[in-house]
Amino acid sequence: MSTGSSPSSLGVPAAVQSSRQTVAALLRDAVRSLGATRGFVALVDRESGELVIEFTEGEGWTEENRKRRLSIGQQEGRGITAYVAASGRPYRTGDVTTDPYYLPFFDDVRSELAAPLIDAYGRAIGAINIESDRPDAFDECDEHLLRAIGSQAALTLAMADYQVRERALLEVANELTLTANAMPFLERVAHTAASTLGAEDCSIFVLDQATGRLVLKASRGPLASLVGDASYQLGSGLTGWVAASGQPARTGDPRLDPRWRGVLPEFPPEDIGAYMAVPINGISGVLGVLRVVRRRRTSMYYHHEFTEGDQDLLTTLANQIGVSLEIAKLMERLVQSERMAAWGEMSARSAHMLGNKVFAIKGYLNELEYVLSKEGPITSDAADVLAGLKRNVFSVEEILLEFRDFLKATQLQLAPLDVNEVLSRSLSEGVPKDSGLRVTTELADALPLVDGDASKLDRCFTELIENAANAQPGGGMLHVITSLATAEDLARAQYVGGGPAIKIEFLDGGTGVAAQDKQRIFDPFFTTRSRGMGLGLSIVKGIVEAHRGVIREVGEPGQGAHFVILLPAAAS
Amino acid sequence: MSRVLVVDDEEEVREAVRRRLEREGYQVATADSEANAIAVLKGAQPSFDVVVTDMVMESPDSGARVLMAAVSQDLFTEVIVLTAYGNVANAVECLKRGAFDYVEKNIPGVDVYDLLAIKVAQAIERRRAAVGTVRRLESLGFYGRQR
Repeated sequence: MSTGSSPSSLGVPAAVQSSRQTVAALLRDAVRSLGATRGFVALVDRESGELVIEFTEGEGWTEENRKRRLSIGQQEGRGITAYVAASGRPYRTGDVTTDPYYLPFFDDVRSELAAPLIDAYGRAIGAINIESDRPDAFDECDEHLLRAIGSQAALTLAMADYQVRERALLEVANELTLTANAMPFLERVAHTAASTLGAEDCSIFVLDQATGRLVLKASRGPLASLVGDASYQLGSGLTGWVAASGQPARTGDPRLDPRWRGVLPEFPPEDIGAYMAVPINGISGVLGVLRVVRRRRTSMYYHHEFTEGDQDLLTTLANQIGVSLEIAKLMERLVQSERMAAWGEMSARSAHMLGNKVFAIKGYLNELEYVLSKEGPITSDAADVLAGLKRNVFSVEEILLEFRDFLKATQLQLAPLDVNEVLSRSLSEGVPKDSGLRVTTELADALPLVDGDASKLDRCFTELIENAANAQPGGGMLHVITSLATAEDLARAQYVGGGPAIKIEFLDGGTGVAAQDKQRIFDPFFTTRSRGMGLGLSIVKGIVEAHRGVIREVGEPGQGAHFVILLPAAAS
Repeated sequence: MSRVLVVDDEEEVREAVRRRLEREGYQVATADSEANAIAVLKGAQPSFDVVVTDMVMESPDSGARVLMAAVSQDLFTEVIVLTAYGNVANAVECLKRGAFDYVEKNIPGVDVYDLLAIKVAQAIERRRAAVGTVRRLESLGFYGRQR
């Protein structure tokens, strides 16, 4: 009777279940056709790394002796099955009583024949073993046949594994949705990668463009508690190298790799059995790293190294993560621009109404002054009050002007233009006369044209010139550079759009921008000055973004501001 | 006494401008929309010397339409357009069509009412000069001569 039992099939995919049935049937056929008394198939367990009897055929098997049979052999490093699984070679004996490898288990056994199960990478993943109560029961022909059956079983199991991977990839792909929050998807992928690749740890690092650090965003394994905190410097360690180079890394023992630093050890370094990391690519460069790590097993049968197939799977998952991160970025930008558009319309109306009210207030103020003066000379107290009222009405008007500028900044009249020409004009007219600002330039020749609004760009450059002047009240320097943006420039700026771009840089000798202010300086109403509304740099950003460009401040705090603008070149 | 029509859809603005111009001794009427202004202009007898009109009311070029109505009623009526900041393009369009001048409502540091009073006075002066010239030409027989 067949006792081809298997662990509970609950939650086991259909593909795995049917492959197990096929392997059980292969074993049954082997035992019958080769005239064996009984037989079994042992597989290397992914968790423990040990050989485990998964299928049995013939008389005399119990749950207990199934477990005992191999554990004895593995403890002593002997046994025919252990030899076959470790060496990947078949073994045949016609008289077990004189065989050094044979460990007596069933009393009636005289002959034994075993063949390895070899996977697509030539690695033994288990063994098929048959035995007989007759001496010299198996010949060379039987050995060939059992090897063929072993290969068939290995192939069946490999197919099931591929189907499990296919299903995992399909599930991941189906969960890729249009959302501004990529984090749940990242968690999902970390889980899938860890379970499908048999890795104890899977971690996803996302590059923070502002700091140049790879920050742990999702993790399945020992690093899970460090999500959001742990990070690598770009280029540092093996994981940092993957992000910086855009190349994958796959190694059995990272300690032997000169790039490895052991910055974030999932396990003690000596416990790492295999390491694999692939870059997460976005539209314009590396967005992060997807990494899996296997713990080392103290088993001679277990193959720790990740395979090429494993790397293909991880790369596919990394690509999906890349898409999800780009989607999140685009969604965020969309929401942001919709919000800005709604806000802009409401603001334009408010500004108009406020302007009219302020105009009326000015009229009454004028009238009040007139009425008071009719009664006789205006007292100095009354004159002070009137002056205060006027001063404040005027400052409200100044705010309104700045505010309307901000609203108008993004309404463009586009025409092909030479950025250097606009910039030269801004520099010749926009430098405040009494600022003492020394301006130097480095303008690249033959730059592609930009589809732009010359007056808006002039406004944008003039704001940056004034910003430099304000940052150096006693006079100082401003260095302006134009060039064709490099691929690295585009990646650093997370420039979305593709195609060539013009890079415009403004460097001054002021105090620079503190790290915590680098993002906020472009927010409306953010100002470190007392005058005005703080819309200057937000207007600059509004103009740049209306041109589908990006602007960042990248200077070292304390060593002067360094603004970098990227504007897309016009299609030639 | 010179007659001025003040057109604005904001009551507070109309009132403030009316008071200021009455102080100058003008007879001031008001209208609260482009449509009303055009109606008032058509029924005015004699016609207004100066019209002060907001640029944007029912439509972005309401001021231009008020201008056309005023000038078609009396060629010598002078029109001053009030604009919000940043709406200079529309104001320039009005100047091309014969407006006397424009005044931005919100210029920081400037008492726009005093400025407006000056402009109205200048506009009245120009009208007077133009009308005077025509009268002299008429008295010399340049106009109305039958062929």
